[in-house]
Amino acid sequence: MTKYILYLFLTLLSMGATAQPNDIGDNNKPNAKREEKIKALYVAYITQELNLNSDEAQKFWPVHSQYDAELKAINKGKADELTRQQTILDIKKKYQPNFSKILGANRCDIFYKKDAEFRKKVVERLQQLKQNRQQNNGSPRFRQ
Amino acid sequence: MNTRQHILDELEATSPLLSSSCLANVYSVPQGYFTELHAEVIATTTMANWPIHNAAVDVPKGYFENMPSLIMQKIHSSAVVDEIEALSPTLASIGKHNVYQVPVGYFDSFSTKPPLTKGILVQGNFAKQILKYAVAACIVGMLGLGIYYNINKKPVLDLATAQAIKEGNTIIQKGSFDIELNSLSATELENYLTDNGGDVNAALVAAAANDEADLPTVDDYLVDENALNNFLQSNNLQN
Repeated sequence: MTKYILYLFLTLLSMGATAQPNDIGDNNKPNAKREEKIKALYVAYITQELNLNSDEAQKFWPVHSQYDAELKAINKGKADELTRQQTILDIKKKYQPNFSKILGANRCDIFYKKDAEFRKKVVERLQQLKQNRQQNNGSPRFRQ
Repeated sequence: MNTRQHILDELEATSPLLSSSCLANVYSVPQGYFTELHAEVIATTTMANWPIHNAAVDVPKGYFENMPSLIMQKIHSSAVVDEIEALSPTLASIGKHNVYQVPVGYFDSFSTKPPLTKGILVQGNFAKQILKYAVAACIVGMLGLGIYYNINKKPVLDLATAQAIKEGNTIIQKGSFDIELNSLSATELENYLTDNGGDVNAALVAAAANDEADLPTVDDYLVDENALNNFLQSNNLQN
């Protein structure tokens, strides 16, 4: 009898364990809040630019989350630069049908452009901050 | 010679029989013994020389022919009935009745008829049986669900993305994209670019190079050999 109760307990325990979300504890990371903020900015930017409705957003973001995780895994790897770039391109191509299914071919193309555009905005803001710091330190720009 | 005589005297004193035959050859057989031996053996073992009569296997004349009638006679004789009555009066009272028969309309006389379904034979502890099946059902169910979810695997929204969507919608509603972007520090932006696989310096050079007015001209390089370094420094790009 005890043996069967133990089996049942282990079964229920394993079911409970599999039901736990994988990302528990992520919010406890020190810079998780800041990462979330940039991610929220990204979500806002893409949502606005693609004019996503709630139904599309519900389908789009889970797929994007997977896509983003695969890209991050590649970026954290130690592959050489060309291989890394090629793999990123492969991932983008791999997800193209998935995004097209949700957004349509035209908006899928726009998504890839806007994705790069958001990145450009971040770079520009960073450049601006660096220039401001330079000016505050008193060093003159090359061309005045 | 004296010694031999002495030995013979001693043997005679010990065993007179052995002493008398010690000089004779005890392994000799009569003449023609082996040539006539087989005939002697056959003659001795012929059945005719043995008595045939054996009382143990003899049966009376006509025994087997009359045996069935003899058995039936013994069964019907009153002696057998008397013996059964003496041993078991109940068995004797049954006589020739079929004990597996019920009276006519016996089952119809019941006020409620028993259900005609097949019974289930339950052996052992009922709770133990149920528990065993419950465990088996749980395992099968878990395996089934696992296979089902693996086959129909759909992307699931993780907690961080769900939170980002929520905050993103708030930013859209407030129209505070630029404010939020400007509130981020250089380190946070650099970390974001690095996490997303970017070479921050290369990205900054590329961004700076977009504004051609800021780039050094050919004359700048002729006048000052540090033109490029100065440009990079002005953009805070040099290590």
